[in-house]
Amino acid sequence: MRQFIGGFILGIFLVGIAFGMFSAVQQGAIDQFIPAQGGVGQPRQDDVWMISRMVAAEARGEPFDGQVAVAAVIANRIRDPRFPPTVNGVIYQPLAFEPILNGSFWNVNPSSEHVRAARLALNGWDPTGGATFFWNPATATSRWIWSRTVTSRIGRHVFGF
Amino acid sequence: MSYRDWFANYKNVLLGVLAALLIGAGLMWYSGIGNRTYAMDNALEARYQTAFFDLIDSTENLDVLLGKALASNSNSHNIITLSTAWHEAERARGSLGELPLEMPSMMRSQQYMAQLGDFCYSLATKLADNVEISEQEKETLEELHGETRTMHRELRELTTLAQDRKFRFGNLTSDNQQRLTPETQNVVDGFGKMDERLQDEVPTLTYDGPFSDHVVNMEPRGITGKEVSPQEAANIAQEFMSELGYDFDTNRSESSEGDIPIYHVQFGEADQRDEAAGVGISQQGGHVVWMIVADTPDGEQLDRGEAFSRAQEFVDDLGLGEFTPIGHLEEGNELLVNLALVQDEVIIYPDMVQVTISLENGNIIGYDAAKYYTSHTERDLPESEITEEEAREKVNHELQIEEVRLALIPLSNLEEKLCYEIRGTMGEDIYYVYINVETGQEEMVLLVVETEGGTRSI
Repeated sequence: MRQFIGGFILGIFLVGIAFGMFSAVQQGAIDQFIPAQGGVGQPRQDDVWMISRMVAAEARGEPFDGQVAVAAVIANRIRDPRFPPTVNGVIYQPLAFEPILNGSFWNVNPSSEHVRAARLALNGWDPTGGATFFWNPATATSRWIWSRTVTSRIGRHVFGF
Repeated sequence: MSYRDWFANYKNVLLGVLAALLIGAGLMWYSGIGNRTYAMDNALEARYQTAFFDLIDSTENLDVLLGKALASNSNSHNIITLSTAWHEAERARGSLGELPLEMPSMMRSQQYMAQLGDFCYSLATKLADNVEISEQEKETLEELHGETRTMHRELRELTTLAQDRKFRFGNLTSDNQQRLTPETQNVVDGFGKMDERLQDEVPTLTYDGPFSDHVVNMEPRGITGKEVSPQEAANIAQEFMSELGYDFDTNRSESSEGDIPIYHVQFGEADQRDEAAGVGISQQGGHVVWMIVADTPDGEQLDRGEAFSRAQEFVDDLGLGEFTPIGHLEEGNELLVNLALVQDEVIIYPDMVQVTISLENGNIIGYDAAKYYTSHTERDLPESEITEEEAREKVNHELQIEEVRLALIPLSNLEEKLCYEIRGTMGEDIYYVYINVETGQEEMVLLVVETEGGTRSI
């Protein structure tokens, strides 16, 4: 019996350590993904990074102008009065983007191509001519999105207002 | 001692450890993870509720402020009132952007707040310039006051629904959307109705601000000429790329009906993405509006001066006029150069083009003339009433003046003003001050920010 109790206590101890380490890792992971807010001098770096992640999440495998187009939609929303006025605001707007809802946004690794696409879009390149919506016709589940006016199609996505 | 003997001796201990592991892990998992999720849910719900009640606060404040602005007879007092209203409208807009409501319920409301704030700001600016508010503007303000009051009332009605114990904003996010409780659905519907009403009742707003409908819906002025066919567009694009040294096969030419209707000509075979490129050719006139090559430069072989010359040469060869560099940015092994049109020695800032050059091999890998084609038009530049000397006098005396040029600058309401562009330093900072050549008024001040890659002015 005594051996059993001794073993039991040892076991609890081990579980405690394991859980402690697990919590620390979790906390580290969460802290890592909270985006830093840039100051006046360097806002663009963070904006480019944010948008490049969305490009990586949404436009993987798309032709390059398709990637720039996806990034341009985000850039267009910032200047549009119907949407939040910052990159963070647009990307994190509740229910706006699928990769945020399903968490994939925090697991992507943007390539230098994705970063370049984001940078071009923030500097004004816009193959869509002002679109503020994009969706994949094959996988879109919302009926409402189809009430938007489609203005162009690039790769798998259609773009519109 | 053999393993079996060891095992036999310590069997009970191992059983104890195992039992503890199982029970402990089970308990930890259940309470630890469960607790954390529960806590996060609540924290998030608190955020949503804060946004909701902040929105109501802001709308109430707006109701009061707009009323006061209409009731007051003091222009100087109204400058403050209208500026505060702008501030509240921005806050309301921010709160709206944080609520977990679907697009349809929210876009018009956000636009309403953006335009309302913008409009109040433009009125405050007018008053600060000693210009009276017009009758038309007063009427618009009255309409907006009425709308805001209705919105405030509608939101208050939603409050009673939101205070029901069974209501949680959290229910509106993803998975749970199929199973909304009636209480939650009522709140969602409430927002939807408010948004719809705004669509029907608030007319288009045109005023002096960046969100005015006439700015947001601007027609491109620089696009002239006859309509071209998709095939002609593809040919133009092909020739453009050949002249840059690219050897592509045209793939397809698709219509794109954005701000500037274009034919989107895409180059390269499907499996040769490394060479892919896209060109936008305007449907009217066949102008090259933009171009991107899918190249991500790897390394820096070219020096900046050489890259600049290539950019300048490229733009000069376009035949759109004389351009001068006004800014640049070096990032990711490419150099981005902004150039503006020059007319009679005046820099025309709105007519701007951008070029990106690979620092690896000097190729032009990006070109964007959308701004140029949107703004460019025949212009009769006004005569200067103020001399350069007088303009220098108007500038803050703390500023050490370094250079003066003439420039046409765009204001946020699309008006263009011819100004003396005075570059000066104050302490460590460089500023551009723009003095109107006709009125001598200071139109704008920009701060030049030096970053690692280049300079920006804000």
